[in-house]
Amino acid sequence: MLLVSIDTLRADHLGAYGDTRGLSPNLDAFARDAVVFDHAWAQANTTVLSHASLFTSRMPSELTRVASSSVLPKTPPTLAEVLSVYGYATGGFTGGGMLDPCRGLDRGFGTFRSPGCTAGGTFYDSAPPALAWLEAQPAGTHSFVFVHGYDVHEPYLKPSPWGRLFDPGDGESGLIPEALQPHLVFGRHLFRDPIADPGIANLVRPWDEHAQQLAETHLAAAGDRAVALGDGDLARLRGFYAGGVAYADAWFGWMLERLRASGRLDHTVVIVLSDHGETLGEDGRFGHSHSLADAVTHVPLMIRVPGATPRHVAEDVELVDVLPTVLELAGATPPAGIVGSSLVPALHGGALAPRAGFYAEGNEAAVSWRTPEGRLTFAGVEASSPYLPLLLEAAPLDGPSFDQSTVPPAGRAALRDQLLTERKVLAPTPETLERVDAGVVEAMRRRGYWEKQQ
Amino acid sequence: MILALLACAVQAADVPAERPSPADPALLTALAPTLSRLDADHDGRVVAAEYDAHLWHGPAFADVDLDHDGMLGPIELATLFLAQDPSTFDPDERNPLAGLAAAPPPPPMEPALRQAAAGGPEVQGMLLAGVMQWMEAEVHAKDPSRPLPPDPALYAATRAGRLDDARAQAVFRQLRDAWTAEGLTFPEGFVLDSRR
Repeated sequence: MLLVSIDTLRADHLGAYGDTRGLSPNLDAFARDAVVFDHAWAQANTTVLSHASLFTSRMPSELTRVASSSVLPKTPPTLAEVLSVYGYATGGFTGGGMLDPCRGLDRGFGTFRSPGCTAGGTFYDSAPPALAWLEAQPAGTHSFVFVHGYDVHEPYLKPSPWGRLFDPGDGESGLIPEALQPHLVFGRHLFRDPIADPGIANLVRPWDEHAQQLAETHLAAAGDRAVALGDGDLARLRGFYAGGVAYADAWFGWMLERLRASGRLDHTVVIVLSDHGETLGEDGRFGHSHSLADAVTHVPLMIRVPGATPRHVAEDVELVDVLPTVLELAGATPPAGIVGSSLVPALHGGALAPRAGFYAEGNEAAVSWRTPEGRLTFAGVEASSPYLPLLLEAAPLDGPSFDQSTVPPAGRAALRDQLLTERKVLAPTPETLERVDAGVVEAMRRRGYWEKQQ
Repeated sequence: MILALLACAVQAADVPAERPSPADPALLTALAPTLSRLDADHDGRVVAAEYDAHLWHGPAFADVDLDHDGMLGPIELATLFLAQDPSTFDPDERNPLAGLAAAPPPPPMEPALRQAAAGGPEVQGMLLAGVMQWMEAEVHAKDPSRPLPPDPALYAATRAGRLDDARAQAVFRQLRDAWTAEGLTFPEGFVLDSRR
């Protein structure tokens, strides 16, 4: 089994999900032979939390404090651990950073390779050793290999010519490409160092009317600490992101062709997904950890099972469904307490049981509940806080805590009840939490990941 | 960079064992769409102008055109692909504008981050401070004359405390009064004396 995680990849940037620019020819060719889940949702908006959830089929707050500094605890069982019990050889090859042993995400892998806790490696680092490891497994061995890369993650600009393959050209600001750093953009301005600017630092909550007012106030005092951006600048940033998609696609294509050439593709289950997407200025920000909007939570999920008929599945599914799906395909029993459901019926052309809604937890103090009526998002209180149910119940439905919701205030009461019900059945956050080294937190901060001051 | 390119092309044996060769058929197949994308006029040739249109900190066309035929071929593109390591996650290289002004003041949330990294009971104080901020924001939405963001010193004091801390209780009582004045129902459990 091959599980490929393309960090930060928006579903809507793949041809298989409707994009027409040709960013992903190799992934699109793969999709034509796979079962494509058109509506797959991530449980979290950061790499560490989403992969922790993916590997355990648990909600992030059941595992750890929902924050940038979180570490996967030593329980519950991971996908790799369970597969190991069933005799699988397991290998994990990642871009490091939040997917490193320092975050506990190597748990269960017999072989794990990461470039380090503060690294941001791509498939350039992870794909070749992953394939070499897979090809070195003795014939007849059941193998599970996880491959991950930050190819699409910021910094968006990847090596020439891929980085500027979809660059629309110069923007109004005259900033050179490497100066257009997405995590420095707030609204239509690029701040030299938003972390050091107390006013902008308080805008960690998603962009809304209040944030806009604060930004304008602090912009007036920012002087040369900020640069005005035009539509062309923002289009360039989106073009750079698209170049990262093309770069990741090339590496994925190589992995797939290598499997095909060696004859392994005919008996390998290949799963392609992303841990979260990215906002590209739709809400005034570029990034993912600040938002639970569809641009962040709608992720690609494609599964190719030899012999299965390719199709598109319209039903909504979640990344927590991957663990029970893989285990069912492997003939393994899933651990108790998981929150996902197997997608194997859909792989064989069947229907999936309807679900009331989809729950997600955000790094920057937010939870959301997505239903056919829209999404209710409650922001401002840490997702793992024991006070969240109390405050969710007390918050005015037309107040700022619900600003990011797509349902109007009149329709929020029912969704809040459902969200409360969903939240209350989850296991409480462990009281004793492991945390990453303070130096790592500082490094994350400097890369644009910082936590709400609370 | 150029040296690395040439080394890859001239002596494939120097490529680390687990990296594909520039002539790996799987790699050439995977990169074929990129080559087509670069061929802007669709004449089957990627010439210098088409390469330069997307150039960004990469080698000049003359350096990637290893056989000097005036075109970028599949193996030359694969050589370029393998010669460039995109790992630029070093935070010191992330903000080219950082040198435009004097050194910034200490980040305002440094103490909170330190506490989060260290773990322990102070997390409880941080959560309470977050709750206070959230309550302030709700009141501000009803009464914009109230300050937003709230007084950071007040919450800094609470951040080190617990729910039954006298300073925390004083703040929660103020918040309860503000909520009540705005017609909001203050959540139970935060003002301890209200339960007695």
